[in-house]
Amino acid sequence: MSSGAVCVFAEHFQGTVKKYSLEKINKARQIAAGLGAQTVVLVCGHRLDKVVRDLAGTGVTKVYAYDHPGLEMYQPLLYADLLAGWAREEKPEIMWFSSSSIGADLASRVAAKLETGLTAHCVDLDLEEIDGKKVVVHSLPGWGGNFMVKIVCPEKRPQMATVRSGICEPANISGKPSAEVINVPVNFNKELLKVRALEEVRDEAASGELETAEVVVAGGWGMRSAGSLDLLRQLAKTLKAEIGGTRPLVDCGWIEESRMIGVSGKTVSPRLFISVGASGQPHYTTGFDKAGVIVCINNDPAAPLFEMCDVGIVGDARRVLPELIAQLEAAL
Amino acid sequence: MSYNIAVCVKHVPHPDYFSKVKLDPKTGTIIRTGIPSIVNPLDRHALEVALSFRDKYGGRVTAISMGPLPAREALEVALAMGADEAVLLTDRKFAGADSLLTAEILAKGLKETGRFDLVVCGDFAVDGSTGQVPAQLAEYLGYPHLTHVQEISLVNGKLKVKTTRETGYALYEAQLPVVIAVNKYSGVPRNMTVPGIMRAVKYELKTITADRVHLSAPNALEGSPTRVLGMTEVKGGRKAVVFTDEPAEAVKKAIEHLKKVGAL
Repeated sequence: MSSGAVCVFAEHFQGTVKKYSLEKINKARQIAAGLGAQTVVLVCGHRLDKVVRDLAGTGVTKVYAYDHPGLEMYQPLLYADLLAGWAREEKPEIMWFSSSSIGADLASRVAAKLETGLTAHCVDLDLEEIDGKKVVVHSLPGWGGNFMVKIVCPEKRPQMATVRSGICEPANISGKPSAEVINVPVNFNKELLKVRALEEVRDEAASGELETAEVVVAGGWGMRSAGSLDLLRQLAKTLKAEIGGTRPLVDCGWIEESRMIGVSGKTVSPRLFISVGASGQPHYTTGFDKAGVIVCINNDPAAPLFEMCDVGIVGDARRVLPELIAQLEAAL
Repeated sequence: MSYNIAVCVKHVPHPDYFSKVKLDPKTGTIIRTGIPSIVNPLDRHALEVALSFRDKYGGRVTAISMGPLPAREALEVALAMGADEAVLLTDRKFAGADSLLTAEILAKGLKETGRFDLVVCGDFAVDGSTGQVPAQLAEYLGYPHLTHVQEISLVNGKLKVKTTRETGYALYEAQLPVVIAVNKYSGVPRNMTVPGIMRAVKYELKTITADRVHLSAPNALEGSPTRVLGMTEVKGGRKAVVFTDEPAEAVKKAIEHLKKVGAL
């Protein structure tokens, strides 16, 4: 008996597939290979031509496109109805969404419609044989990141998850779209617009591209006591990095909530991560422990982050940062 | 017009003590003795949104919680902040419910309690952090839902809602009844008042047990589609090279090292 498909709900913005969706597609292909199953992508929106062409070139078997003017903005009930309807028809084995504001909202409602298990904010997904069945083992940080929790959905199907960004490399988009594209006709009941999107506003100050950045510099409590974030901003400029930080910096209004890194914030996996003035509590370090190289700058040599970084500098940020900025500017 | 408003509150372990949580080496389960519990922080925001809605447009606020008997403390906070009624869903059979089953039990509890126009939740609880319950509760109630809510107002009998996105925000219009899940931008939660506290401690709580919500499985662990397979403590695995020299020298060495490993 062949297994049901491994399905990914892809997100996109202005004709570009989100990097975190491409990561999930890559992971889905690995899992599908282990199951001998197909990899399928679902995408909703309007004027999806380029997005669909790109998705069809990621090595997946099929792309189901729901292209309709009414789907241009995220409509919670409508999207959930379309996806649950698809799942009832196609009976996928696995269904993944992003741990984004839209992905998490949609996955919850779809899982309830299908009355199946949903695991939130996974950082790793593996196949394991349990009681003679190959099931997905979902790994996620629990208890403020102090534990890695493994969760399975042994009986109900599909096995659903929301997946964090940075779990693996994104799938490449080849110039030759090879997947079968199914344009699904969209008909919907007006009842589903009992809740209706009126307007989506993009606010550049709040966003940045933290999750896809190559280099991230992040500050913690120590930067707050240093009295200013200017040095960190200067360092970010020098390295063309995005800025992130811990809860205390959000609480004092120095960075936006959307730039908080950790369990209740963003997960990032840049090539280089520089943490300044943060001791390294697990609820923070979980947000970047998959970064390529981690640098820790802190005046307390006993800070736990010195145990889990690659390069550490013990010293006062107010003295280390100007030196670092000057030497980097000379060297780069 | 008088609105019937429900707020879901959860009694959760205090997040400041999460690093003190240990695993039982024999059973692999969590030992959480000595960890104090509080009202889930975002649920206090949910209470604020519900109470100000009532104060502005009229109605009654019922706080509802699912948990063991000590969860009464969370409902006392809700009453002391100004909630009119409080209901506790409590039964040993509810222990270990995952988000889907929790949503189902809460929905049945709400249906047993009344007909609600507006159900307000916190966006997520600090212990499980799934954020899945509000949308799933809405599905079981047959209501629409909106999560990541930062602002609501009533315009011509419809709810105008501002929701937070990673990239900015989105505006929605929702017909009542509706379930909303609010985030920390939704306003500063009010304090408990002295008359409120006096009323709360004397309040005769309404309780609902498993037989009244018709739990189909023998208990919540068996009725939940997801299972916890195991847990491991997180430990770092990198070999740190730490420089303790004066800043100029330490920075120089660190940059050399970063160049060597190809990070610069």
